[in-house]
Amino acid sequence: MLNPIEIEALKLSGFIAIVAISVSIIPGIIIAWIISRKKGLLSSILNMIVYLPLVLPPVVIGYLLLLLFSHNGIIGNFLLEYFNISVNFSWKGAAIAAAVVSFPLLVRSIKLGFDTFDHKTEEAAYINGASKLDCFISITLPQILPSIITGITLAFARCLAEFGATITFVSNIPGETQTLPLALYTATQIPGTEESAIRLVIISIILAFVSVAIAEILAKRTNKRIIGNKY
Amino acid sequence: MESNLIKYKSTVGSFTSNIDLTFSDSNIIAITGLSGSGKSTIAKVICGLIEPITGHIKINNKILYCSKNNINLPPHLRKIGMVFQEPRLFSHMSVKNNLLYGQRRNSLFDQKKFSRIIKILGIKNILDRNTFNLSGGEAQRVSIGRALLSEPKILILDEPLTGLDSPRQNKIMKIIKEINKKMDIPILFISHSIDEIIFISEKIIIIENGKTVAQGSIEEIISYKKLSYFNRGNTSYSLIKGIIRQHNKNNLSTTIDVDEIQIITKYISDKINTNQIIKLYSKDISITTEIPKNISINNILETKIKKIKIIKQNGTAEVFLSLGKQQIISEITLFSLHKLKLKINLKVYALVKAVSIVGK
Repeated sequence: MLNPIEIEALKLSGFIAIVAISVSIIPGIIIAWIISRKKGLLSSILNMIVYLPLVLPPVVIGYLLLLLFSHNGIIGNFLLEYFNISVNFSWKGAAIAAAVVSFPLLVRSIKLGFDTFDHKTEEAAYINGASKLDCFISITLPQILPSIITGITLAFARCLAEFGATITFVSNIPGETQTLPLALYTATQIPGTEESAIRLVIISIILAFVSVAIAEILAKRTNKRIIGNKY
Repeated sequence: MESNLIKYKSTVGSFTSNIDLTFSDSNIIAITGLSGSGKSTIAKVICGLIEPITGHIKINNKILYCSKNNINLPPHLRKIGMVFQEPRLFSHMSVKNNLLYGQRRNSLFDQKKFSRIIKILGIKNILDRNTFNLSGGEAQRVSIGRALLSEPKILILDEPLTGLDSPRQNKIMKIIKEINKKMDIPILFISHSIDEIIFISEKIIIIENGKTVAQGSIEEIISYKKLSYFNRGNTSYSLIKGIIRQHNKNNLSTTIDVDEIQIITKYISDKINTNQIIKLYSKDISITTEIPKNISINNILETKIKKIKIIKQNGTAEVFLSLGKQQIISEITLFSLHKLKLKINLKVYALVKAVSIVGK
């Protein structure tokens, strides 16, 4: 079965993906809402910035993160000075890299939910006495739940697959930043570890398959609960 | 001074509305007009979904909007019960939670009131159901219930019967009347259907091109010259008023007096001396220049031609005939018009085949 390094990488991958999604879910919903509902230059610019990680080479993202979060970088300096937090060469940095590269997938799915949701239902809620925030929480979010679930699962799968930005930003340290793809990369670089590489490849495929399947099942279930059998 | 005042000027795209209407607290008021006349805009302005340019909106003596004093209450503080053309139910909630959505945000739960409303609406058996399994009529009744339970000061129904079949339409119309009677709440009923508004309301407001062009009781409005064209594209008809004079139980017929002219209809269950609004489809009225003998048609009415309107594209003519102080329209072919040599002020007989009663 798996050796301790592989188990460590598997655990770390899951942990980093969960942290990344937990941090990005609320900003993801807010930004998806802004892009979907607000029209204008600022919204268009925000839209482009959010989708950048989808098209930029991951190594560019990793390098930019390195510049921003290094002890001399704007954010890194701020975090170190006021909170005594350093993200360099640690799992926190790996989580940031995962959050950034998976963010477009998260926002894209949730935005699609906002786009297709009928605003007229919200009008009915306002007139029934719900404030805008109340309506957002009690009507809009539950109605677009299938899109949120799809977004989370896709982003989660993307976090598990993250390689380029992570290795550039926080390097490849077993037990700290060495996630599954990084462990696989290491295995492919050292002679005699082909078996380990094959095992990691199989795990990666299974994980990707399972997360997409879960997304599909959950989205179908919630959709059925919300709109009946029309899905 | 009336406790409800709606006076505003608004612009949506290139469409400008200039509305001015008042009504009391107990009535069902119907707002009608052709589609695109700006009827639904009124509902949206009252609810606060559209902000007017200037104006003053007061419901139950509470100011919702006043451009002079910079008052513009947001929709959730206006206490309006609104039922749209489509039910707009919250599909992630059960019927019961839909009903309680507005109530929870506006008042403490009152079991008595809740029971009373679900009884009037006949929705007791569907409380635990999902909303997407409901029929059109059930969904619209739930929507009415949700609006009523939100403690509204006014109930606005915007074409609530569209898309329902006629037994369901009748059921909901009866429910609306009952709500008005039992719950003491003013109802603004927006509809393009003359039958619906005559059945349901005491006061009618006619909107044309975003303006209030006529308002008053059914009797006052019935003479409004454009009323008969509201179903344009469908069938032309005329509306006249009369009083029940006599019931004939053997023949199962009723005689109605229209400005001292007797019209015989199928039996109507209302009492003698009650007012009736009668709808005569133009296609059901034929014209003859002499009294025919041995004919099955009961209503042979002596009239005079007031106006002839030729509709070339159909090859027909609308002949406007006086009936007492009122007017009915007969639709005949151009061929018949020329054959009978019909002209204005000619004395003719109108043969009325079917008479339908639409309200009182």
